[in-house]
Amino acid sequence: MRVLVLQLTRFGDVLQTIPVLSALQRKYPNAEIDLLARKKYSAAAKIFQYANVIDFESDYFLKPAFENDDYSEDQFWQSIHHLESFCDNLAFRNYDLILNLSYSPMSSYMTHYISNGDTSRVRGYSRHADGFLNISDDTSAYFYGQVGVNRPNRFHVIDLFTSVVEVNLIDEDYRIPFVLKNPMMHDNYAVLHVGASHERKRVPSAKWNQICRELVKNNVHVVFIGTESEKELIESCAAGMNAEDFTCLAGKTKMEELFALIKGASFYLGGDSGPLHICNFTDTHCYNLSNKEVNFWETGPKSKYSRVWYEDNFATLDARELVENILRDRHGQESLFIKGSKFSGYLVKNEPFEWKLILALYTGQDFPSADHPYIIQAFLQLNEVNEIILHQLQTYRDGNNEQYSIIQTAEQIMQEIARECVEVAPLVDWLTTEKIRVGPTNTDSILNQYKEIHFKMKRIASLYIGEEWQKSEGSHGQDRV
Amino acid sequence: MRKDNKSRDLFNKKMKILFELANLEAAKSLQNGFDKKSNLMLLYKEFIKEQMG
Repeated sequence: MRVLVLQLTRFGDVLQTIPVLSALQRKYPNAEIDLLARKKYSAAAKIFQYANVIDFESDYFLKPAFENDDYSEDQFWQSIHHLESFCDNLAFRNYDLILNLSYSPMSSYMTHYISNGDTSRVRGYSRHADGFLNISDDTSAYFYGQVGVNRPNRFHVIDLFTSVVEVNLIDEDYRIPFVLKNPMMHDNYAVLHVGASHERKRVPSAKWNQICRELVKNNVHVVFIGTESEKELIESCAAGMNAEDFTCLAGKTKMEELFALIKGASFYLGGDSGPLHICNFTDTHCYNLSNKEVNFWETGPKSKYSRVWYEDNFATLDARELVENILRDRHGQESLFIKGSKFSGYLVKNEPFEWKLILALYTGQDFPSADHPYIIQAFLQLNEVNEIILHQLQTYRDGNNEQYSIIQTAEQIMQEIARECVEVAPLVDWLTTEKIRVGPTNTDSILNQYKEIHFKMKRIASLYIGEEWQKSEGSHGQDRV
Repeated sequence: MRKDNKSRDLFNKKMKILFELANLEAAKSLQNGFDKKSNLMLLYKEFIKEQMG
């Protein structure tokens, strides 16, 4: 059996894929498992050896077009040819199972190419025969509809990956199968990663400088990690500090050393960036400095003593309060606990309506009661628009542009309602995703599938607007979609 | 620093040209339906977009 896993995103996602690869190897002990990952981020997967890592190397595809300053169309076609040969080589391997955990448009085209359009072998994003996005499995549909920044999803990315791959994780999947040799001699040090994939996710240098000074004041040695290119940033974060109070290892650590370094640290401190996820393997006390640019529920560390420190705006972060909390909290509560300006005293159990709605839609839990009139109002509006769409679908004549335009406008209105009332957004996102999942077929079949989806929408909306017919249909708990 | 900026500008300029070309070729190949070639072109277009991002 041959299995291909595509993980074409960044370092953090590769790290979060590793336990899934371990579980996959356990599930298919005789399978040849290949992992396609970007060369820049694949090092971690290589040292774990759960899969044969195939590097996706950007330079290889771009090089022909960049060899000379001048541009020629031949160079473009040479790049295309390189990409084609690369994909053909993968397609020739004739994988029995292709697991695309990348959730990007590029990976969907790649998956389609490698699978030769045979979606029975695919989980994750691919493409239909007409080029439209093909979301073959329910978890990937959930990913499309509900996962991301400013969305209420609280399922962790690792849990979603395991669901797509259909494996269960055990503690053993987080084991480190190589010898850890810690390059640091200090007893009490903190590992800091001050960089991030995007500027807006990053704590400003001046604020890091305050945090570092507070740590030093409390006799904690600061160890900066990062890439060679982050050295300049680290210098600004460490500005004015005594040389003996910190160590900069940016660009100097091998992957194995990074694991050892974090394992030996008193704690880890950083934003939502790759190295944070190493804490999942080392069980290091970890503080994730998060803001609204990230959905910390999805990527927040799963290590035992992890914390998320949330700030709406990093400029208001109180360095002293943060460091006091870290030092007091060490080896405190085991579960993910969120603190910070917005979530002072906020516990995981405090669940908003929209998250409960997600649980009802996707896991069969009871639909939550709507405590605010504006939520009921939104359901009323959605129901009205839904009725318009249903009417158009029931009376649709092939090629009727006016009806098509009405349906499109109604769909846009639904999106507007979801923007105005975020509590109902999961339902609209679910509906949109389910309609996208309808593959190319004849008009009647498309209409029937659409009608079925809108009827489900009607049933759910009716729970909140008290339609009589729904009462005879059954209890809330049976309305799993 | 000046040299860095210059090479980054050149990189961005080339990327934009590549993106436009991939876009054009994808649109051309899609005229005959979604096939292996258009899939490859769209894949390359998304690849370039990712590199630019």
